[in-house]
Amino acid sequence: MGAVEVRNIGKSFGSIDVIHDVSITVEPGEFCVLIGPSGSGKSTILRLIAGLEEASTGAVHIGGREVTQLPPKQRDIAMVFQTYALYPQMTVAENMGFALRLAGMPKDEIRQKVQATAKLLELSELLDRLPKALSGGQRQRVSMGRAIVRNPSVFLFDEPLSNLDAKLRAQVRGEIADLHKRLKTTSIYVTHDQIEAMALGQKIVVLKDGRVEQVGKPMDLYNAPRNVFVAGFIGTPSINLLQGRVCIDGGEKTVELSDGSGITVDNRHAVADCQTVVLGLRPEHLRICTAADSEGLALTVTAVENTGSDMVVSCEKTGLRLVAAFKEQRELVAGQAVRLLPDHSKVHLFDSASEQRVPFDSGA
Amino acid sequence: MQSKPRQWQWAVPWLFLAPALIVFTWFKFVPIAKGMVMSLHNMKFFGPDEWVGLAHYERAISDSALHAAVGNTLLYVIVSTVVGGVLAFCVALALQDQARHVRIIRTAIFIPAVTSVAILSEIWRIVFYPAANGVANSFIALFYIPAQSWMADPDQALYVVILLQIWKSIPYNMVIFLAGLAGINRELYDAADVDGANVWRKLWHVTLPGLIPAFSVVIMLSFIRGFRVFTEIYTTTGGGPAGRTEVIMTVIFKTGFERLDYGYAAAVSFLLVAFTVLLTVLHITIKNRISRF
Amino acid sequence: MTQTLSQKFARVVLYAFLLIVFCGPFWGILATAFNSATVQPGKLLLWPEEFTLRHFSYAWHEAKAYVYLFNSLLVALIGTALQTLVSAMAAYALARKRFRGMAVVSLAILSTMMLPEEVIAIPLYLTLQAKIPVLDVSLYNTYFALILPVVGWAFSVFLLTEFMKAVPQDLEDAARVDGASELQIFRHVILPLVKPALGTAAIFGFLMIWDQYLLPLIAVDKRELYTIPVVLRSMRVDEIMQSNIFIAVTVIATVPSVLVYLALQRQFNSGLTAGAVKG
Repeated sequence: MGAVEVRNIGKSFGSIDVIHDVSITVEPGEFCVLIGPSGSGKSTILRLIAGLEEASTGAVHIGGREVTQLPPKQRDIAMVFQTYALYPQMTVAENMGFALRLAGMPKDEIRQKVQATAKLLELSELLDRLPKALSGGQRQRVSMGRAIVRNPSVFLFDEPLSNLDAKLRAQVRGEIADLHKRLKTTSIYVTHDQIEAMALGQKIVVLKDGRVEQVGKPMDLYNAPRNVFVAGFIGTPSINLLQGRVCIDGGEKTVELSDGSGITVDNRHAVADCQTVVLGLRPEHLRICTAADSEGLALTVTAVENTGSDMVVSCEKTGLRLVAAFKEQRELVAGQAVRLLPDHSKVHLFDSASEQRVPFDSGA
Repeated sequence: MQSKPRQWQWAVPWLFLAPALIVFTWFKFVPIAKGMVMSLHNMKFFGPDEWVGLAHYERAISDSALHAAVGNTLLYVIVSTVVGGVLAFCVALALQDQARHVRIIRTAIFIPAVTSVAILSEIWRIVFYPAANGVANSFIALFYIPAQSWMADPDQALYVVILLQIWKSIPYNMVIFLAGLAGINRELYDAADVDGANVWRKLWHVTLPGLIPAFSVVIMLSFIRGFRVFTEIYTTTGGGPAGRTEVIMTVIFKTGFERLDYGYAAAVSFLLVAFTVLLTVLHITIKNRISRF
Repeated sequence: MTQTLSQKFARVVLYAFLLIVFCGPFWGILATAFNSATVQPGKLLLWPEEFTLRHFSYAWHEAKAYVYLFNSLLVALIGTALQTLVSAMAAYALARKRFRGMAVVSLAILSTMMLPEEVIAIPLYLTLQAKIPVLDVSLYNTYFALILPVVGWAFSVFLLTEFMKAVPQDLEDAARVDGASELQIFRHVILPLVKPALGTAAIFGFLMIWDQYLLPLIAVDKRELYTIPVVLRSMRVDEIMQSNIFIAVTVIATVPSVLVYLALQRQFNSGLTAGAVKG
């Protein structure tokens, strides 16, 4: 069992800096997710940890050893690839046993280990098949089996579910979570899908343009995003972000929106009067009222998405667009006038200029 | 299975290249360099080689025997390319069908293309045997044409060898044309039908334009191979009778191996190389110009 | 497409004509070789009047065809094996690795494609005659002289390079993570995935080496080292050589390449057009 530590890693391709001074610590046995949009560098960092790319600056430590100069095979890692990367001319059993064969393990031992792992992943019947005779999900499991059978200190996953259809994705996601519970191996998992991140990660690292934006537990990122980017990235449907100006009247702090309406916010926010802010409200924290209440923002419905379990309603008013999401089934049509009531305790404030989270007043 | 420490990683590609580089250097690059040097010297057996600079090249320009050979080579190249290309095209048209029996015929007629030239030469010498019982002579006797000397006849010899070149290149070029024909969009033919085109018009307006790349390949290959022709001549006529079938390469060969005038032979070789390179460059340039349409 | 009777007839005539023109001579030498009575030189039969294997036997034993066939086979088989291996290794470097000087090497190898081998005949002859420094022997009149010069073939290198480029990088990465060394990646990942290209390169290489004429001519002058194409010419002037026997030798000489072609013609044809039409 190894911890993984990435210290001040930087990577440049020629004159282009791709990774800037990234430091990440993964505790032994932890499932850490690297998430970010395309081009954020998450796959590059994974490859740096694996040793498939050489770091321009910084160091990588695995299990307490410095491995920065070592090739992949000496780092005690195993990797699951997005494209599965199964050797097409080898059977499932041969694919899974390849690394062990290269290491010189006796044939019987290899067979034993392969069979044990196959049983774990319900691949026992497929051991003699070639990859082309397998479905996508089966191939992915073989790919994982190949990693598991080596019993490494660290598992590295490079967007393993991207090539699967939605239903299969959810299923294999569950299988990966189960495996981690069972094997408890340190895992580093790269994805752009935040649902996967939130579901699987014990620690999530949000990346953008080769830099770490925030590190934390899933719910920490959800409840207290450090900046506008993280707030917008985590959470489906995306958080509503509104430009506004702070008005402090006596003890009350309100944010005035572009259409003139105001939203009261928690007094403890450390804002100054007339400060321009970005107000964040998650769709699930907005309640819809059809009655003509005086409370809440008055808007018109523009679109309704009903998936049976959730309703997502897009609303509009001049200069304002909001999305609300909830579980109950309501009769709502486009063009209807509604009022949206925000949950004041769940409002996020970010400074307009710096895009950073506005903290609570210390001592408030 | 020690993996190399990072610092030696750079050597890996070179290690894989090593065998190829050794062979190429020893048997191609070094001889080329040697040849270039030789072409500037008079190679003697007793005593050191004498530097003569460009004397050999000058000699080549005024060498009448070489001129004759160049003329023969040109004739060989042009006739075999044109006639061979046209005939190969016709054969490809005739054998386009995908039916099984047609495919068998295509396979069968390909045999001359996979047989060694030396063997084809022997066959040719038998077929075109100068006496009356030779195959060709027996055939033309049916039309009351008297027996010919073929390759023993100074005037006919070159054409008979050219015929050999045509004969063996037709199957090979046919395959290239077939590939080209398969690549032509069928709908163009349909459109031409709707426009009322007859067979000849379709040929002219659809088939031929679609085959320009194929023709280009065939012509270029034929030219380049034609200028380098050696074995076909050497094994059939040996350059005779009376030097009437000498081509550039046979002159080079004889100058080097029979007259042992290595320096001059090397110089002529390089003139041939330069010319081949020029042809290739010319061909690529023309191809690029045409494809800009 | 239904055809009229006259169209069908014309087709049959055309096919027959083509077959006679291109296959006729081969049929002729085959028939003549099996014919018992000696034919006059220059004559070919359509069918043996009296069937015999005598000429083949004589050609094989007394005329020593087996020696020359052996030489050709040895040279072609070993040459092909070496050529394909050497080309595959070079292709691996050129296709899957980036290194300084790559362009120069590529260009150098490419330039030999433009260079006709005939043109370096004379210097190559001198190279083969020269004594190798440490061993103090020359390659002349050895099998090495017949084989080594053709081991380097640019066509083979570039064909394999193209196919190797197409192997997904992920597979190489997976193998690296699995702990494979360079040689192991080459052997277990890349080579199996370019099998068709290896086959094509081998077939074309075999036929190219088998057909070599100028090289054996300048590489050896001992008759027992001659390959078949070269020996035919000198057999021509042997007085002992009756025409039937000579034809029998010719048949023996033709058999291997035709066999190779027929056995592998699907691969042969696809290889031909792949290179050709791309221009």
